[in-house]
Amino acid sequence: MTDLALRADTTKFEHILGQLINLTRADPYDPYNDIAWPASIDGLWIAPEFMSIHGTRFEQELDKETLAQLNKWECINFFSLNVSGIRDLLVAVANRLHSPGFELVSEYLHCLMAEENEHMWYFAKFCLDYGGKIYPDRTMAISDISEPDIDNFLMFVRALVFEELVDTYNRSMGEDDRLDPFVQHLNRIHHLDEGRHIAYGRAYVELLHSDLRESYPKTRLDEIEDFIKRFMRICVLKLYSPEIYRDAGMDRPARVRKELLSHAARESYNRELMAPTGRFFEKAGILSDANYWQ
Amino acid sequence: MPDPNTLATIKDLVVENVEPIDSVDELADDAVLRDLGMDSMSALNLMLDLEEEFDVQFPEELLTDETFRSAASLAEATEMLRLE
Repeated sequence: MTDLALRADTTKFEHILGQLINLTRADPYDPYNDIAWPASIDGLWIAPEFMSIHGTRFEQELDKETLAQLNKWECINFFSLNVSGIRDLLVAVANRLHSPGFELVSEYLHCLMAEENEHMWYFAKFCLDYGGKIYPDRTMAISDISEPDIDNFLMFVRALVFEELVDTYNRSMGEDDRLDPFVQHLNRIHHLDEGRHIAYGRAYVELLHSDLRESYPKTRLDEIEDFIKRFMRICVLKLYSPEIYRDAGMDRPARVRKELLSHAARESYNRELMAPTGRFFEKAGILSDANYWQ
Repeated sequence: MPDPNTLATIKDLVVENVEPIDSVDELADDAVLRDLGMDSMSALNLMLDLEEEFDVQFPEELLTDETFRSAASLAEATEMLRLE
C-alpha cells in the first residue's frame, strides 16, 4: 500500500490550516437557529443568466408560466447537486479522518465536515420544503484507479471542482437583488463558508500533486489530467438535466438537453464556467492547459 | 434473450455515445463497454438516450456497472423497464 503521508514541505500549508481553523471557529453563524424559513418562494429562484436555456431560442419561445417553472426547477436541481456532492464529500472525508496519512489535516477536516453537514441540511430542506423532492445524482462513477495516493488526490480534486463550480453561482447570486431574498440569502451564506473550503482544497491538492509528480511517470500524470478534465465536464453536464425540463412541462426533455448542449452560446458558457478552476490547475502544474471543454 | 430490434437500437446508441467505438460491426453483444472506452460521461449520455428512445427511466438501483456492462445487459434492463 502506498504511503499517504505528505512528503512535500508542509510549512506554508500548516499555516493556512491554522488560519482556516481559527476563521471557522470565529464564525458565529448557526443555520439551525439563524435561518428564518419563509412560507413560500415568491421571487426569482435562480438568475436568468444561470439558467441552462440562457442565450438560446427557448428564452423567447417558452411561455411565461413554463419559464417560471423552469426557473424553479433549475434552482432545485442546483441545490440538489449541492446535496449529492456534499454527501459524497462527507463519506470520503469521514473515511480519512485520523487515519494514517491524514494526521496533519484531520483537525481541519472536522471543521469542514461540520460546515458541509450544515450546508447539506439547508439545501436538502430547501429542496424538500419548496420543491417536494431532491433530484438524485444519476451519474455513475467509472474509474480504474488502483493507486491509493492517486485515488486520494482525485477525491480532493473532485471536491474542489464541485465547490468551485457551485461557488461561481453562489458568489454571484448571493449579491443578486433580483432573486427572492431567501434564495439570495442561502447563496450568500454558502459562499461565505465555501471560500475557506476552496482555499483549503487548492492548497491541499497542490501539495498532493507535487508528491505525485515525484512518484509517477508522465504517462500516468497525463491520465490523471484526462480524468480531471472529464470530471469537470461531467459537473457542467449535470446542470442540463432532462428532469428539470420535464418538470417544467417541456416536450421531449432529452432532445431539449441535446439541443442546448450543441448550441454555440451554451458551448461558450460551458467552456467559461470553470475556466478559473482550469487556470488554477494549470498554474499549479496539475493540468498542462486550462481547456477542459474539448 | 433480448429482442434483436432492441439490441440493434441499443448498439447504435452505444456507438453514438462511446467515442472509441467506431461502428456497430466492432461491437459484440456482450463486449464489456467499459473496456471499450465507456466513461462516466458517455454512460450518462447513453442512459439519457436510452430513456428517450424507449420511454423508460432508469432508477438509481439500475445505474450500476452490471447494467451498463454490455449492449446485451442494457437491452435486458431496458426490456425489463418497458414491462413495468
